[in-house]
Amino acid sequence: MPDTFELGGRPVYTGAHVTRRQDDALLSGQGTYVADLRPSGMAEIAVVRSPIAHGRITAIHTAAAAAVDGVIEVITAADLTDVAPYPNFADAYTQTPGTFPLAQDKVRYAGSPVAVVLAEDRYIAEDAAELVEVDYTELPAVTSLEAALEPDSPRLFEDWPNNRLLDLQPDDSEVAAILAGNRVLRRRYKMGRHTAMPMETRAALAEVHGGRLHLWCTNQHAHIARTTLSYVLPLAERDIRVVIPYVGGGFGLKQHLYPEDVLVSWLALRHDRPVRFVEDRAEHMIAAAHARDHMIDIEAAIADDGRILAMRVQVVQDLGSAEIFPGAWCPALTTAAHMTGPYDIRDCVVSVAAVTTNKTPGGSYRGFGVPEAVFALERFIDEIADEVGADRLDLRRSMLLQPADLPYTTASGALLDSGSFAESFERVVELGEHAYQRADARYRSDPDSRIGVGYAVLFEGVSPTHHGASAHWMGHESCTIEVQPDGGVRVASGVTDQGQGTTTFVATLTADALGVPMETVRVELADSDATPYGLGAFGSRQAVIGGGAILLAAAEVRGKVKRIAAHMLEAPEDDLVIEAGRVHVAGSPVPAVTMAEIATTAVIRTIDLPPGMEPGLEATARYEPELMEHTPDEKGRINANAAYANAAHAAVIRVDLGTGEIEILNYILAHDCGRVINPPIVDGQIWGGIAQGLGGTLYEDLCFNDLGQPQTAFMDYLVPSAIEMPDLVIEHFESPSPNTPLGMKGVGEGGTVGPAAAIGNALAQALAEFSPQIHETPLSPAVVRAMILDQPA
Amino acid sequence: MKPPPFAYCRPHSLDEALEFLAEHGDEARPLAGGQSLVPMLNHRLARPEVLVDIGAVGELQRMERDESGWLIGAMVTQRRVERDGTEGCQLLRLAMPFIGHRQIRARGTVGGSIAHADPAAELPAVALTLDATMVAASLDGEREIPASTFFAGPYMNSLEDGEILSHVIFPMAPPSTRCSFREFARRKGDFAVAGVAAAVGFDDGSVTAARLTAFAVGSNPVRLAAAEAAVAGRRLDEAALTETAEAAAAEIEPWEDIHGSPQYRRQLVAALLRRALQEVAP
Repeated sequence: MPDTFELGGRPVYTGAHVTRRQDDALLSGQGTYVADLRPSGMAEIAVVRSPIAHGRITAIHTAAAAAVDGVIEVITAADLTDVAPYPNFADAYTQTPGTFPLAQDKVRYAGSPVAVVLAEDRYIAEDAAELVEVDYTELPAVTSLEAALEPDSPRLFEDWPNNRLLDLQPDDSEVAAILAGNRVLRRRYKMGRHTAMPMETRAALAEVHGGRLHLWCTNQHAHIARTTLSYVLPLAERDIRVVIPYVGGGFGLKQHLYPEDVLVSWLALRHDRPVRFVEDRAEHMIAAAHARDHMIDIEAAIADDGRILAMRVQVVQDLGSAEIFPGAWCPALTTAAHMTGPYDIRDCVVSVAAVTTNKTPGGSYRGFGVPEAVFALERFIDEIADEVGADRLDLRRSMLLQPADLPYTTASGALLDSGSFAESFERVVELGEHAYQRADARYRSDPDSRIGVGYAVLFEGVSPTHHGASAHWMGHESCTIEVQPDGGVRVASGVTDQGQGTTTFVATLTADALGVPMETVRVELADSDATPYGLGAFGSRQAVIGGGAILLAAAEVRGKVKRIAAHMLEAPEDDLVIEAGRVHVAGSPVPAVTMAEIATTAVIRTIDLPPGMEPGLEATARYEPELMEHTPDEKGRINANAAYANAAHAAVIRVDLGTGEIEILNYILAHDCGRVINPPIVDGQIWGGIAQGLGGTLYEDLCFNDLGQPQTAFMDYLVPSAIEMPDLVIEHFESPSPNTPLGMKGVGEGGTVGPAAAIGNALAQALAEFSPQIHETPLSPAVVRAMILDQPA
Repeated sequence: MKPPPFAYCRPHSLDEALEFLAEHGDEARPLAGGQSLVPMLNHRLARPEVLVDIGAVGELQRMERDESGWLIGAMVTQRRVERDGTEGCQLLRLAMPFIGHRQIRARGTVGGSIAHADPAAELPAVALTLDATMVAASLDGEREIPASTFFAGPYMNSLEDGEILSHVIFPMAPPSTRCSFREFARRKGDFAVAGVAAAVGFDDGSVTAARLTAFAVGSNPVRLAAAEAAVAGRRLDEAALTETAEAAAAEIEPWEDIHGSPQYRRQLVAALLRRALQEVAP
């Protein structure tokens, strides 16, 4: 790691409670979203979607719709003659769905886009969309992961040998030998299907300016979106500009470049007028990426005291129809990489399958395979403890990585270079046991209540390679810093802001690294014309990787500032410090030169520069973490992340025996994301993550019936509201990574990862007298009530 | 989620509203607070040609009490009932906070909710429990419909073409009556998975008359006749609670949805009724 990853002086803003830059705009309704953009002449689309889950299209009748007053055109896949299918760069180890923006011969999920009506406004477009008639020959639907695995299952893609898009079966002979000689425990765990429900749905607006396509969209990556559009549309990349305005939450769901993004672009080019799509909530439920839907089988050899000696794991992910770009198999690989948790389990082999079913395509969602692994492993450890009569906390203690074990390479190849696994766990146990005692005392006399406390301790890969998801992009981030003649700073980066505060940390690090007041820093993000090529938001990476690029660019600018100042002050460069936009000799604030004087010299009055110095005061840098690996070794091991955060969770719950409802009395979390840049933003990430984790554990469930018909409308999709959120106790640990800029690790997902495991374990304790089988989420009241009665839900 | 085209009118008197409705027959729908109808329009589940917005009809805004009970106009918002209170009508007061969220109650109306006849709605259950009287207005005059015959299936009422629900009369219960309203919803403000309403009269610790209703378990709220019989004349001891709850669970025929099976809903009704009776026990 280069030694330029430093702030350059005393931090003023880093680590301080700096108010988020967009808060005023967001709280006063001034944020401009895609749905707020209405260029003159704008037309809108409505998408005709398949009402059936699986079938062959035999005819599409569009004449009646096209005749509606105000309809401009109705298109189907046959019209898109110059559009290419989405690419698949992973075809060496996956099957290729050949995804096209509109269904070509078959539909593979209810909600699949079949035709598009372009009209003067969305009202007319929807009126006409009702008149498009599509004839289908229905095919039997595959609606569960288990069904998809059956050898005689109907196939979604007839040229594939089965429904397995991905099927990795590593050599398990070493683990098999250990299993053969020891006591073996087997369990199967499942996590249900749920997904992000951002307040802003997906949206895209395409315009044509001087022959160039301008796409305003909600995607999390300006440059990846631009490049992908150039693969799919007959356009050179230089003729595409992607701009991401205010976004009302991404959560991974907006990582994908959806068909509608392509369709509005194609229609805008064809008709030379602005074309917009704003997804409505009913569409969002069936056409935006779903997530989770994993099944995990664990077989473990255990010692007499319960310690895990070796594990053989099979992870299966239900991809839905898999018609999405980038493909969505990577959460299953991520699950595999997290199966040992922060425990010293040296022998673990994981096979991974990702199967297609006639359901909405799965995709990215905050947590990205880790909640599944943590739920399975942490439930499993509690079940081992029950099985062998061990204390569940002591069993964890006997396997948890201790400070002396670090750095530690997990069985999957993850390099845990730092962390507070044991310390954070002990702190949460201390707080959790205390809260449990209080709750138990309070409810002991209530015959309808049972109390339980459950724990989960975890590590979480952050700042990952993109290669796992796309087999194409790697893991770098970019930054340009320019000091303008008046001393103000423009910083442009490839990172993007979905509302989580990216803009604020970019300004924070830039200001501290240059020694200038934060209000003199202007941040430009998410415009492919204005920012250097970067990968944007995914995998809790932006502070770590984006921050690294900022620090590198700032170091270069800072060096030049000091060289110019040294010349102007006639002082040795090494004696100078930059503070509040002024450069002076350390310890004597006068004489000083201001950033404006230095920049004016660098850019305008270049005659005053030191002899031979190039004019200008700007730098562009790119940061790609050295230890991040992009492809696995011959044993399947990979250090796919630049850093690993860790956390410990505790949930104290009350179960209402009459209704089966779980009430969270206390939720305690100790979190370690290394160096903290902005404490309130970190807390906010944890709160939001916990909310989504609780949602998937207790409330949210995307159900399908046997025909593949989606059963969960928004009314029944129970996103927890402020009322359902328990008060949180958040404890911070800071174990800086020796391998990342400033020791930062990512914070975006840690809250999401633990609730299913902590609540599942709390429920097991609360209902111990009923010997409940807790192997699946969501833990709805009906499911819990059935455990109490030992009857089917 | 945009509605198909419709015509819109906003009459300023009940007669004017009734004339619009008579003119357009079953192609017209009255628009009250819009908390159910507007989403149905956007989902294209309701496709009226004409919306008759009755928000400006003064006659529908009455809220008065006399010795027999509370007269509440169809356009009185749920929030107004909640805020102003309905002294002497305890069950109505207990039920109000369960209706959606405060923002919904600020728009949603008493008449709108009852006429919409959502099987999971609170006000129909209150009306049935208290034997409220629905007063229908048409160009021919007024007609009284008892709650027991007003609800005609899920989202169906027994109003005829040209009729509008003008007001509801919630009778006063005798002073010895004690009430409980309980519902189980997945989140605060959601539609109930199951609920019960109880208005129970006591004499010297024993039940004289019990009015017990379950809702969100079938097409419409349903009076729990077997449970009412099981509890009549008894003190609310453990055996009475158990037998009454079991009778209720046995007599309902709940539906199934993603939140629960019929079996689960029977258990919920039993648990909720048991708690309601514990609450009203003297």
